[in-house]
Amino acid sequence: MPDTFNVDQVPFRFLTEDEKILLLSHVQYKAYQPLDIVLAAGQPSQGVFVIYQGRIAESECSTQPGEQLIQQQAAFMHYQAGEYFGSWSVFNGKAIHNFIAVEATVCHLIPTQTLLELIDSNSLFADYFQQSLTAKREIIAQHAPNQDMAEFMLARIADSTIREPLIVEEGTSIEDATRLMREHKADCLLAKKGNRYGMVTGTDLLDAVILQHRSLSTDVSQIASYRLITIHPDDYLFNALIIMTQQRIERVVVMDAKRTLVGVIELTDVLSQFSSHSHVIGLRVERAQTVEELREASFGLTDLIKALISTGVKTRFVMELLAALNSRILSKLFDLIVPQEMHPHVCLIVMGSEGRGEQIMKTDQDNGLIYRDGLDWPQMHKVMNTFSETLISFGFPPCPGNIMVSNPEWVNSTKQWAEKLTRWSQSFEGEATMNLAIASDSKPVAGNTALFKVARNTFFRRIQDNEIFFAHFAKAALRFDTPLTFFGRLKDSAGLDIKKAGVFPIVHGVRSIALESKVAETNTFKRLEQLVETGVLQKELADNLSEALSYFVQVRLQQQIERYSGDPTELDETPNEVNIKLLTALERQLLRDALSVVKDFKKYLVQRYHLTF
Amino acid sequence: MSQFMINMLFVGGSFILYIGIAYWARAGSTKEFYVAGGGVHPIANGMATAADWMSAASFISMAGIIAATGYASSAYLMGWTGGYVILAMLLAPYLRKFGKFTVPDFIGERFYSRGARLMAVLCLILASVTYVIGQMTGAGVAFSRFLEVSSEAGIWIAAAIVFLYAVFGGMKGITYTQVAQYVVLIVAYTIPAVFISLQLTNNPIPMFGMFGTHAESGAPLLQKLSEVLVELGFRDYAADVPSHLNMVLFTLSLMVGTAGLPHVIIRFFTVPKVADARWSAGWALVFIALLYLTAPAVASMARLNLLTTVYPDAAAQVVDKAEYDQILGNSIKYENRPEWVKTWEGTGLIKFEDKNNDGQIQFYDDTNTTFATEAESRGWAGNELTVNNDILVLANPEIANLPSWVIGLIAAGGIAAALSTAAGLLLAISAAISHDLIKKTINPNITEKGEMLAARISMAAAIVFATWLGLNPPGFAAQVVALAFGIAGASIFPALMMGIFSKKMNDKGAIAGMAAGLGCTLLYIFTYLGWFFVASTAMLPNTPEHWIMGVSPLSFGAIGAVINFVVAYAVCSVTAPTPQYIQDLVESVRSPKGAGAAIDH
Repeated sequence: MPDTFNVDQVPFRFLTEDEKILLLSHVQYKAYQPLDIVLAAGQPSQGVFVIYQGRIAESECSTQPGEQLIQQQAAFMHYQAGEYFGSWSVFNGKAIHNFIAVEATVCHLIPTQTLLELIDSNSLFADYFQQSLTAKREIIAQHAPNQDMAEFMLARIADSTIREPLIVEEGTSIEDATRLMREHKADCLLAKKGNRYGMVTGTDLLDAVILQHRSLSTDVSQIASYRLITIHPDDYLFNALIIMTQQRIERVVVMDAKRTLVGVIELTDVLSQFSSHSHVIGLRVERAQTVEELREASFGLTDLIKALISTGVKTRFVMELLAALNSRILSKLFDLIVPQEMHPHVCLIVMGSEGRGEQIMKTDQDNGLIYRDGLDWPQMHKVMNTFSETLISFGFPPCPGNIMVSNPEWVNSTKQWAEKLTRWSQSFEGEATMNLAIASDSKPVAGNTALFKVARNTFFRRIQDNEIFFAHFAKAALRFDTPLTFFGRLKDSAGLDIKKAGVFPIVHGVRSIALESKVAETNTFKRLEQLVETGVLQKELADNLSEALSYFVQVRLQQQIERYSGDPTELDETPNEVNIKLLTALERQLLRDALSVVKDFKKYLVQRYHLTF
Repeated sequence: MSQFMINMLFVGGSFILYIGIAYWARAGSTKEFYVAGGGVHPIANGMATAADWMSAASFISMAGIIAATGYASSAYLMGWTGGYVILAMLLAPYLRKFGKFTVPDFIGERFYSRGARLMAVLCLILASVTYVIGQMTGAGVAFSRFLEVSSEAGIWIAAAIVFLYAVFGGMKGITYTQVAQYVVLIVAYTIPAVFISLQLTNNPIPMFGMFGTHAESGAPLLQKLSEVLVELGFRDYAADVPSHLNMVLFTLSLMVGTAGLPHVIIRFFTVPKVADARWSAGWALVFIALLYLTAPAVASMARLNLLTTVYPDAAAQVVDKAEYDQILGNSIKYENRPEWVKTWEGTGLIKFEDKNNDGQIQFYDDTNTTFATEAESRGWAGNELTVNNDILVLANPEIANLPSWVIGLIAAGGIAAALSTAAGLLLAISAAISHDLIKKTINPNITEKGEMLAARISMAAAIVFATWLGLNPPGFAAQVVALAFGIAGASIFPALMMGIFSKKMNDKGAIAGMAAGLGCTLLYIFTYLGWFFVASTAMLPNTPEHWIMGVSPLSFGAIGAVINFVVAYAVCSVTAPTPQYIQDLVESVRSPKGAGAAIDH
């Protein structure tokens, strides 16, 4: 019944009419009862399944199909009508996971042969299936119920830390082996016997000497275990974890297709895949006792970002993590520089993108200080100067607008601060609008948070329900043309300033609405969530904006990383430039879609704020 | 090159100019994310305000109606100028401080009531749609002339263009387009006036020329005009009006109506700084005055030109009445009529009927009973030439035999005037329906897309409705607009005034007041002009004898406003008082200091 197959859904709508006919003539109609196995792990690929109705569960367990499996919560992904699965198997040759019908399910099967023909003939369609690893993960990750889980699952062995094993030749004594392990700080070694490797762990050595009373000169190859459990470097990290759990072992040997030894992967490495870098940096920051140590720790940030992005972690989570780490660094530096007795009387705030938690690479310092009304601290400005200087030496560039604690303009008592905000909100001047925009994203990072809250709440009480102010404030979001033609194509095929084209209109528009609705959140995504919760924005619009914004940020980041030379102190001259030529056809399509969301949002702002002048 | 081509060139050229400027203003945005100083200069904003303000009624129709009735129509000038001043001085600063863009938003908030908001939406829609009818009438005349089609076809074409303009152009930041429209409009208006003034009085400044000496006859121009008019049985140009009450009420009605019309108010909010807003209001007044002071000159000179076209000898120096009899007997032959009469006949806006079959054109007032015997003695069997007042400004350069590019220019000017105002009004109507009515009242859960769709649909519905009524307008463009002002003045103006200047006025009082003012005014208007302006449903003929106390439907707005005030205070005195927070709010808006500080304690 190919006539029930919907060729208008993505990605099939990219096909030409002829290709659609070819597709329809080959599509097979398949029906399954609940618990039927549609595709079992290890089976050769049949093609791509598109679900017409029903529900399919994807699970990692290859041994226990059936009801039990579903109840064990082994299913980590569900597919529903309109979604497809099995494309992995087409490219990998065989299925990695089990696909089991949860309900009575009807699928359309596009045979591998047909799919490959279509991929050959239609580049846009091919892109959808074949784009870069990151984008592929992106699409899948969006279907996953648990983002972190999905990202973890999709990381490959090769992306993780593969340790170089300690290898000893046949004939090495237990005593020598133990000494070597100690020297190399290894807790296992591989004993070579002919062409084979055997694993010897610390436990093995203890067992041999203490329980089996072998002599210290015994050849380690005798106690090694040659039934090695191996994994392919292209396999999923997730599978390594499963193997380790099932076999109750802590390390797996990585071997490629030709059975050549690549290395060893450890349980701790797998577990810390996600948190490791951030954890390590976080720890180093926490442990830092001097400014010097803190500086060392903060230099690790750029590498951390690169690592996270290359493992395909969603940009939004990278931003959150980075914001958390940055504020830890600031807070630690604050602890180190500001005298302890002053901590209850001052509050360090970060503003702008840092306050929103939306910076990726280390961005300009946008910070300020709020102190208790009437505080007597003569050294304040001197200390604040030191603070800014130190941050510059950490690789946080100085703010071009001089919005830093070293500038007395941005060091205020709670009363002064509330008054400043109020004055800006009443002045309608360009600079005041900018200052207000930056300040309305402020977030406390160190010191006495209550001081910040007092000032902010006073300000919130004072901003009137003045639509005329908000109209002028929001108008900045319309300042830059959306680079789309009337027909929705990209205006310029070379490059565009993604901040002007997409990021700023969304961030500023959402900021205006959030300020008007007195939303205390500063992060754009969270602001959107809150605006939906309070009924100010519709969910559909908010979701579209979130998606578009994260896409812009992701594309910008990809290109920033491509430009990054490896020197953490070097500055990117054009951080917002997106070279369209570097994008694949699908990425371009996504960019167009995201930009048209921006276009619609601008129309919405025009309507909401009466910006018809 | 034919006149048609020249017209197309000018109109097309002006459109390209507007689109070009709109594009330039968008693409020309700087690198800065936040603009310093707020962008638009007060002079530019003043021009934009003037372009919004000067509708087809002001540009196309007002001079025509002054020409037709003389001094009596000076109420339009006084009323509209005065109305602008009231708006700029009395209302805009407070509305700005209150922080609401639209009238329904202000009324809904100030009277803490959905009912008041709905009532305000209703008043606003009625007034605006009536206003659009006037715009469509005027735009229809302009389009029918320059495209050389019938006035019906002209009005539909105008409707389509205005709709497209509002949907596409109206959505963008168009201050500079408005500035261009003002420049086109004022140049188009004054250039023919300067030429004609030179021709008739040798004085290049029309305002002075009007009070100067008519070059051909040597008599003062206005005196000459009055003489000829009286000889033809028309009312003396400078004659006093029969009912002073009516004239005063009419002027008042135009003044107060201004305040309730939504599309101009927004202009006072477009400049970020209060001081700049004041300056641009001042400049706007200058730019408006430029046209309003030219209009009477255009009117009197065009009337004289029209008469001397029909009676070519009447322009010369005439000594006594006998000579006039002879001159007036010697009118132009229909077959020798000038080219412009032929073109305008094509639009149906000039009609000729040879009632006494003498082949000549007789143009006089055949409704004047005291003049009937004299007309009969001259062998006239009735007025043979009907000229629609609304064509006067557009036909003016043709009547004066000015070069054809001037005619093209004035076509572009007339269309600019109609477009800018009609687009502004349509946006206000669509915002009132989609935002105030649907989003804030009927269905708060409507999606943003749904809201925008509703805006477009209401815009389309408003224009179709207005165009349909504009095909058989209840009066000339300026009169229809005057009706709109009456409706707005009777309903919205008192609510705004009480909202700002009375702390005690409560929700029920305001609603009752608006309902009473609107109801009475509509009833009075529909009695004479037919229900919803369908003439056949009129209950009384629209002539001074049937008007109650000599008050014309155009003037009733002022009485409606008084009824509104009275009813509002009466109802207010017997219902629950205004909550304290609203009283504080009104106090803070009226206090000259920052309102923020007032709310804070």
